[in-house]
Amino acid sequence: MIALYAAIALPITFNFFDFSMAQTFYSAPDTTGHFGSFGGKFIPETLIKNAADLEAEYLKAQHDPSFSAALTKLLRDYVGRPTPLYHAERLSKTLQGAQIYLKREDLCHTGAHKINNALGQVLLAQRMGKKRVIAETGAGQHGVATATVCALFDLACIVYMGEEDIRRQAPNVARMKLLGAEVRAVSSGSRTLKDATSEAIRDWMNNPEETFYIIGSVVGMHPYPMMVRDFQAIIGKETRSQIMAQAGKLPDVITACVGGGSNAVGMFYEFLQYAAQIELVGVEAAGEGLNGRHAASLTLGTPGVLHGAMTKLLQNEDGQVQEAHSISAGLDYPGVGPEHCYLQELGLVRYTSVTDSEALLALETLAKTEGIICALESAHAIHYAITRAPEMAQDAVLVVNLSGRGDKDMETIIRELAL
Amino acid sequence: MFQNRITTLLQQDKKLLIAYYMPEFPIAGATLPVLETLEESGADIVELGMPYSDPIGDGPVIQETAHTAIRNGVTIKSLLALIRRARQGEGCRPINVPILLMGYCNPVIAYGVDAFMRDAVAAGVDGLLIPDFPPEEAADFLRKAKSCGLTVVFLVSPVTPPERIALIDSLSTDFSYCLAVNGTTGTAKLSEASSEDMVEEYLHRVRQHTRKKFVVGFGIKDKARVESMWALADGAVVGTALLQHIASASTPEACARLAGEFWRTLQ
Repeated sequence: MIALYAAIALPITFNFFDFSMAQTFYSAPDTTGHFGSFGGKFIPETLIKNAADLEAEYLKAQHDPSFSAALTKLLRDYVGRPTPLYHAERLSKTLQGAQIYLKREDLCHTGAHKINNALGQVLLAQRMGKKRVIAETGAGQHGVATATVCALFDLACIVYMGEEDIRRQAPNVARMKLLGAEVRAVSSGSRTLKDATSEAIRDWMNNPEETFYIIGSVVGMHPYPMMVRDFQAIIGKETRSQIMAQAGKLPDVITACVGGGSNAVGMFYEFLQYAAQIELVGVEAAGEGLNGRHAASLTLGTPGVLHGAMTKLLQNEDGQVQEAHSISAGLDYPGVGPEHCYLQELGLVRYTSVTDSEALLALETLAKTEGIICALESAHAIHYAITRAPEMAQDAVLVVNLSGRGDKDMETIIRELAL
Repeated sequence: MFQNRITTLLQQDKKLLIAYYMPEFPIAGATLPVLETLEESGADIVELGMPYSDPIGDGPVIQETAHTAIRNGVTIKSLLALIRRARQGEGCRPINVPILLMGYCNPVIAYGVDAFMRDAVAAGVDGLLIPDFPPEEAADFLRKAKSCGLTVVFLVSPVTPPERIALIDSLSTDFSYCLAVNGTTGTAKLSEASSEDMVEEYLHRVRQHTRKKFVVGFGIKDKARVESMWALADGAVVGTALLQHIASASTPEACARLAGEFWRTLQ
């Protein structure tokens, strides 16, 4: 199954699509971990061997049927895959436009797509004989997913989380502790995901031999952006067969929120071969607005190196990384996965942004029309869909990746919506 | 091509004592007095930090000094201006100690790699150590630095395999920098009893696979550790302990006095 996730260019059904571009794309990253001019391994020497060992083990696992069999079984029986693709008829009717379909990653065990990747990586940790797992987390969804798989595989688990995020995602902190993980508060810098990631990398440098670092998004040094993408690509694969079965056609527009960008690339990857027919739209966090504090790295960032990869960053002219802002902790990151920069450069995916207040409005609308309380992260993509659908024909199909559920955000939602 | 002070220094047969200092720490105005004192007190090379907001290879002390330096206005541009003044003796005695800039690649990329090399040489910098430009990513950087005569130093870690130690030795222009232990700067691991034999075995392995000189850093905080490293390597780097010693200074003069006082304890 993993072999299926890998970089295979599927037969092209549309003649006028630039086949060479699809090939270029599906062969990225190159063997040195670069997606065009992005990605790579900008890491201190201590981590070079770790990254190389991980890559070697991952490439071996891809060709090991027992690895894919174990992962497939867990994804089915433990996570609950395939997740439904749900036709949101009331919302579509209300908007009088395209038919909106929601890919229900919020129904995964632990409440978000993060578990797909955490399971893949914990199986690698097991193969490599590592006994100690570390992770960074923003919204806490990846932390919970990692704590969950460590409980399942009886591994020590330490999760780094910014103090600011610990405050705004309290329920997830409690869940991680209940699952047996140690949550280490990070008080440096902006006290959010960026600093939690730096701290996790430092831990890995201090403990390179016994520790497996489960990165939660398509960020960081090679092979993480490639590996996390492959583990999340199941989202798009399922969606493709589900939409063909339900709507009898491929979607016209597919949208997903982008922080680091794992749910988005997981959804888009399968559809890149149809990029000439399908509009793929990544939605970044515009925070208080693009003139104020935001987290729109692809929209307004410039190339630079953060956490081991060349990517697009919010930074000042001196190359100091700026603090990002989003109401959703999972999007509150001043960088983005290098593959997204490459997709943007190739013109295969378009990136836009949605503000904090727009996301809140979308969250409320979805709750009241469909009875689904989504995560604040996913609400950014929902908002894009709500504004886009009315411009589309009623037989058009718009798919939204509903990456997570909103339980973790209730404190923020209660405060912001004065419930 | 300029006369590279590091290349000249390495021709001498002596064990090196290298200082790491974060410019303008703990207060603005401290850099020139501290450089002056370190040179007077016998530092063979001064590594000057180029502060970065997200220093993944550094422990809490140097992270904090980097944030202080940024708050005190340190940018690559302002740092090069300070080095130029130090070399020309504007506001201090002319300083001739070899200077190695050490910092993460992002500020260098933002400045522009070509402009950075040109301006660094013009300011009086002798060498560069960019920990997150490992050999895999450094080809362009290394070519440019070499062509303008700058020393380039690459890192070796305890987990670096032997054939890679040889590769790093061949790429480093004058000497390599060995991390004493797996960890971030200021690590306490060297103090652990178990580490002594491991460090010795590791540095013997490095010696076997290198032709050029190599120095050791990370966790070296006093004279005893400097001497034990001198027995195994060609030099020792002291950073975190120096920065901790001057952290409370409230004037540039006090800073220099504390730096000198500490540095003399290492001799």
